[in-house]
Amino acid sequence: MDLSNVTRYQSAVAVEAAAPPVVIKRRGYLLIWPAFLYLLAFLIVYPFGYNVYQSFFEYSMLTDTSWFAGLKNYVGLFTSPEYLNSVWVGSLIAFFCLAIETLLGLSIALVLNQNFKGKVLARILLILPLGTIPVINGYMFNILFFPNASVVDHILNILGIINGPMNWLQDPIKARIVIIAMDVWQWTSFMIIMILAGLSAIPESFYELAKLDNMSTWKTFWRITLPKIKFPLALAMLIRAMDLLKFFDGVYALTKGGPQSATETVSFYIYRIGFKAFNVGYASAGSIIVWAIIWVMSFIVISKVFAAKEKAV
Amino acid sequence: MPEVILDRISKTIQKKKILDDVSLKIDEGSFVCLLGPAGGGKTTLLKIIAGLEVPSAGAVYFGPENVTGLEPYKRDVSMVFQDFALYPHMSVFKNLASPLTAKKLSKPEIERKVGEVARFLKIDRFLDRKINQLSGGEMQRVAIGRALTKEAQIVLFDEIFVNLDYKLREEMRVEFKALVDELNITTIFSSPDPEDALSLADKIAVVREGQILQYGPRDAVYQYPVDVFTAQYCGYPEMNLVDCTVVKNGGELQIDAESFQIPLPRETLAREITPGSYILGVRPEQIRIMEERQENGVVIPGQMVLTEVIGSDTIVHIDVGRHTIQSFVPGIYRTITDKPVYLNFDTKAMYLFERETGAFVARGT
Amino acid sequence: MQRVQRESRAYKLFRIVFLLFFIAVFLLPIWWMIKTSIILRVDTVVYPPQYIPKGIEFDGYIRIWKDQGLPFLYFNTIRINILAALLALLLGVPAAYAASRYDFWGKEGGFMFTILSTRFLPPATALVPLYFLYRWLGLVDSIWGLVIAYAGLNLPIVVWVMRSFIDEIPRAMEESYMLDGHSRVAAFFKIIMPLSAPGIAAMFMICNFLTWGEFLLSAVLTTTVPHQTLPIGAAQLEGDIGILWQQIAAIGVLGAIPITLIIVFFQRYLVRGFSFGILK
Repeated sequence: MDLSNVTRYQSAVAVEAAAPPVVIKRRGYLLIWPAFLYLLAFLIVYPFGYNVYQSFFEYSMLTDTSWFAGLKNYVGLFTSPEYLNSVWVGSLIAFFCLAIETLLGLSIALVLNQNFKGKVLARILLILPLGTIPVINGYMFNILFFPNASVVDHILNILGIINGPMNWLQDPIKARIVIIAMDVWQWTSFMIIMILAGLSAIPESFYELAKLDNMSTWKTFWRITLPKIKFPLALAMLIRAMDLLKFFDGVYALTKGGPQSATETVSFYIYRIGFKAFNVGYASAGSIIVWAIIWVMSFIVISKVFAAKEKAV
Repeated sequence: MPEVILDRISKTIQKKKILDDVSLKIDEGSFVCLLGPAGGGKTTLLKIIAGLEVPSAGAVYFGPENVTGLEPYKRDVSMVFQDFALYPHMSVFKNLASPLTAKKLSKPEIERKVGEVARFLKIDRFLDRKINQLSGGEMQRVAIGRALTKEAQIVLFDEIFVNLDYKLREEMRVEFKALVDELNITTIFSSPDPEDALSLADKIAVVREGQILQYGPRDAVYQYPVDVFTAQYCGYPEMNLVDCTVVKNGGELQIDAESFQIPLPRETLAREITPGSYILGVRPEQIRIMEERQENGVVIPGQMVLTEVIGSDTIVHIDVGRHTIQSFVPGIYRTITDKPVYLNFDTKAMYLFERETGAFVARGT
Repeated sequence: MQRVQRESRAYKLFRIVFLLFFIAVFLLPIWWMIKTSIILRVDTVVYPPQYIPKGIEFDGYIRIWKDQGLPFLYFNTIRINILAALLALLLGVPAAYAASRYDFWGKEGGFMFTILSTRFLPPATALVPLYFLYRWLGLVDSIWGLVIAYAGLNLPIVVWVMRSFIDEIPRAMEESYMLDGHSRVAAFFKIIMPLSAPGIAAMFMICNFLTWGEFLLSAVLTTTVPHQTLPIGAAQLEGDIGILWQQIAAIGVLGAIPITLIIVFFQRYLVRGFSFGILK
């Protein structure tokens, strides 16, 4: 055997001079631009820019003039008990809604993912609320919790849980519970769909392996089910969280923020201050703050959960 | 039929250097295996040849033509992917016909050619089936079939046996060899498995961490590995490696491996070496096991500790003091523990590598 | 996927009770809506409540048909939502493809996150500037104004969900198709589109769910019945003389029918369409 083969392999290729560097452009990435420009035009530049601009101005409806106010609106908001209250109320409602919807959605989806008679029917019935119109749900819940004629009171009285009328919508705490119940009622279905989708992507073999390992149901859930549905679950929670922090429709239809602004969310405050009191500067500054809060929250969620997904792929 | 030339190719993906100054010339009609561990850049190299990736630097030539920036669909190349990449929404027939519809052939022409390839690969019974109704081996055939209907001059195979079980892999390898021999195409095959390389390829390129460590005819790579990595990687079971020193004992050189000594008279090795630290390597298939001491070649006494039966061969693990040496012997053996055995190999089968760099120094003649 | 597991009798009983409880809770407001739409006006809010109406009338339906311009509202809601969903998909799917298949400067932190962040603004805030913008563009009180706004609301979700969907389609499939000799464009239409069809279909439905009952934008950006949607029609029934429960419930029932039909007939596809790992 010829020993010349043993030399470390180097450039054995004799092509003319060094080839020029090839610059090749594949332009498929440009396809992101239509969507981006669309949002830029209709949501970012104008509405968002307008709000940023207005948030630094004060406006008088009497004279229809506005003047530069610097950070006055922001400072004013942070010292306004009304605004701080709405942030607190909004976060409180958002937190409870998200927590309950996630837990309920997860438990119902896990049950619906099993095999039993009537499964399809149960699945359909449990995602029906998704098809209803939020404003009209507001009116329906109004009837269900109507003062002195509450259907819910009636049922709870029959079951012996409460005694006498509850006057749900007159009490600050109870009114919040009703608001939360309404959102949970409508949007748990959304969670169920998203989680079912995640569950249906888990191959059966995973569960069989778990059974072979004699894993308990609880352990199977934590070790196999949850990691596998992490991504759709996080996405669904993110979509819900974004919408919940802007919670408006239900409040508008059911309580109009009352009693005594106990259910006034940030969105509703902005609506009231901007549209009823025409304090545009305040409303704009208020929205920018909400926007910033959701921005930070989403950024954290996305960089943690979704970056982990990228790596896994 | 063109040759394929890769000229100083580098590829960086997201600041990570995947390929670093790789050059390779693949003769027309030859079968080259890119051999190396996963993540070494084999797939990227194939994708650059196919045009699915564009190199960050360097150029690709098919014969005299520079095709570096040419779109994949304009190249005379087809590729079989590791996961087969069959189109799940199309029937087997449509999968096989895909390259032909791209050429806008007439319907009877397409049917004739698909039929030919399907019969050739013995998948003509499945033409109407959906992809998810096929077994792993059948999917493999369809994937190969789709690469063949294109009638490309260069066909790339990316780790296509990795997803098959052991038995099927052995079968497919035999069939695959026959197939490629019959087709007379330029074949570039990537694999992490030295058995693929040794049983199929004309030439082997050992790829590791974005570089080609060695490229040459199969036997050359096997017999004259450039370094410890190539020596160990190119062969199954892996080459036995033992740290040793070469010392002068009287007038004669001697290998001292602590557990055993091997005298090194002149002419044993192909070139002269100086005393120092080395690594001694012997391939398991070169080591015989004797129950009685024998006098020719190197003889080392030891104790059998384990036998692994692989197919109809056996890997025997033998304890020789500080080291465990593996021997690969045909036939099935049982462990003998009650008495010592003797390892025996020819000095011709010995390799010496530098201790520091792992580079090849010399082998026995 | 079903779990092969032997379930105890107690667990089976628990499951039935669990599901029946939630089905009852979930259906109560829906039943109440149906019932309110047909119950005698005087019996709408009474204590103890009538779970089954003692007498019925269809006054609510007749009145919304005659007085509220129901055909307009209904037809508008349907076409605005469908057009908006289609527009969002038309813009969103190519963007999702670009984000899934290409690496470019500023992709994740720049484009993708900015796209998502447009959903962060409270709807009340976007109203005034959108109104000014629409007045300038002549889009106030036109169904196209709402189509554009709704498509914008759903676009971020379409891009994000479809991107993760396309991520699950192995690149090797398109690559293989291109090596067969088909162009990149052909690979998009013949491989990416058919394989992401379940996702697109599911996304189409979700878009409709998310904007079906949208209220605020519709309330401000449209002013006359021929361009308004069902939720506005319902809200206008709350006036000085009180709340017209019957009519509101009647709109609610009719409004829920299309989405309910979609759910009943397509729930299987909805779930499958969202299974991100569909091809694995």
